[in-house]
Amino acid sequence: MSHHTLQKLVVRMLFDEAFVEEVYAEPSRALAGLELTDAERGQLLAVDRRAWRHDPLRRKRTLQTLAEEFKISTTIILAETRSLASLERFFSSAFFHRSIQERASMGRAFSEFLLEGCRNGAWRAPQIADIVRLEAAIAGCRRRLASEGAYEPGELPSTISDRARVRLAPGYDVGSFQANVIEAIQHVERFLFELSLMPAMALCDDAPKLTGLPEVEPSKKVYLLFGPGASGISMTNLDKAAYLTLYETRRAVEIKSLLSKPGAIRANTKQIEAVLSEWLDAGALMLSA
Amino acid sequence: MTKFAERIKALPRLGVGLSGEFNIAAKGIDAGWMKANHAELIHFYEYGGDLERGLDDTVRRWAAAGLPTTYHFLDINLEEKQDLDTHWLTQTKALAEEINAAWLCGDAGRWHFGLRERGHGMLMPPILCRESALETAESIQCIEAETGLACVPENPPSVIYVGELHMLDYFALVADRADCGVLLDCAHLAIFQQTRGLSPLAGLDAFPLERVVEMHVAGGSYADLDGFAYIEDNHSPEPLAETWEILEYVLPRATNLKAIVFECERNTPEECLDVFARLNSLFPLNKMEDAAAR
Repeated sequence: MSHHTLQKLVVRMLFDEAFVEEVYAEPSRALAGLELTDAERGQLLAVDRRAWRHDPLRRKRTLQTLAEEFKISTTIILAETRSLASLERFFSSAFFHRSIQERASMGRAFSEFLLEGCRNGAWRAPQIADIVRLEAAIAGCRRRLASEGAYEPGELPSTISDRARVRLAPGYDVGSFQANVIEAIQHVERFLFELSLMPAMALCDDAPKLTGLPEVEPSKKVYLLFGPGASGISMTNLDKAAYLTLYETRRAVEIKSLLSKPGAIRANTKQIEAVLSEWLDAGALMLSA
Repeated sequence: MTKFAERIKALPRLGVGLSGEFNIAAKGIDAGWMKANHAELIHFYEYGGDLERGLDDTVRRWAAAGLPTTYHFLDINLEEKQDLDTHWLTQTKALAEEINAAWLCGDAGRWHFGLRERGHGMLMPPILCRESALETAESIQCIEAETGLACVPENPPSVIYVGELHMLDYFALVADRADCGVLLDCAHLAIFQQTRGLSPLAGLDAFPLERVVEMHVAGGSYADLDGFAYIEDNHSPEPLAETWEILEYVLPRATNLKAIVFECERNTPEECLDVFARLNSLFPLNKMEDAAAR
């Protein structure tokens, strides 16, 4: 189905001028591995090279959408790098190109790009990695809720066999983060609110600056449950036993299997049963076929 | 299923209409205001919708008043049959039925790349090849079968077209394979002809104009990028001369034409009244007047 291959190429070229240069300069290398006939390759190269640049705001519009989901991460990164190009590099990254080729989520690819930046030192703020993971978890919940639909818990059976399988309902997830992650997010939100009062103030030397992020305390953790709320995905604090139990239910798992490893979950059987009961009732967990 | 030639007889003649999309009344032309103040100029409302935003109050009020509508989708890749899921089909049908749409229409090609997800929205024309046209035709047949509504594909705008076919040959093939009508956007065709260095009317003599159910007219402007000239589909109030030339060539030959939309919703009404008047004189709502005019 080479018209699909061509369309994906068109998207990649519309976003990535460097890739356009490669395609025109060395088509056999740039297009290697793609199922294109010589004629199709010719049709692609027949497009005036300048035409790919006709929409100079395309990247920024898309970045705006991505930044809506990764608002805190991108703010910290821009404050640190003082460079829009640091984020625009996403569109030349393997993460972006792979997401287009594989018909995958660009938002997810963007989170992988941000995390890669943490790993390779492109951004150094110690708070950033956990904030990216937290925003990625929320984005993931939003997507699963949209694709699978909300789970409406009905009346649960009076007894549930320990052979029954449970899993987190669509739109739910759990994560563990450094203890000050929420404070860091609130700190950035306050900064963004102040800036939103008059965005042009960002041009001023005495504009508000993003400084004084709460320190990371790696030894202390906060455990969070993400799930659908009244206005999007909300967060609930968990204790460690609940987190470890629910973590196991990110994939469908037999209750018996959960109860058989209380040591690993660092809870006793009663605690695990209580967690399952509470979150089954609340609709965060569902019985799975 | 009956043939297009039979089915077209059941579609109403809607005359000249206005386009709009979610909450556009707050930023541009309010269809309700136009109807109240210039009832002689607009006779139906073409609502551009997607599942994410759904219907707005303007189109709901318009439909509640018993006024005609069409539903212009903004979120399906006709060229990519994989995109056509049950959810989209059932929800789109529900939205179209809620406003009693006479038919569905929309640009054939892609409204998003990959998944239907935030940030993926980008209108792209189809790859102009036979393989793509056949897949588009399959999608149209599927939509018509599942919704019970006619689905009328539109030639999309772009600065970049890839593929060996002329846009008109592509849509002729789609219409033939799907046995469907087409929506000919005169402004988009003018853009295509310019990118290929062709005259505005090139290829129209061989196009099955009896398939044209609806036409679009919109303003555009010439732009230049380092010496590369192209037309921006900016929906300004003034259609280009090439757009009028295409419209006036096709009108007397489009024997099954039911509707013309002036896509101008982001402007002020005052800027657009002359074009609405001209369109109404070219294509009166009353068919008898039209016959006399032709």
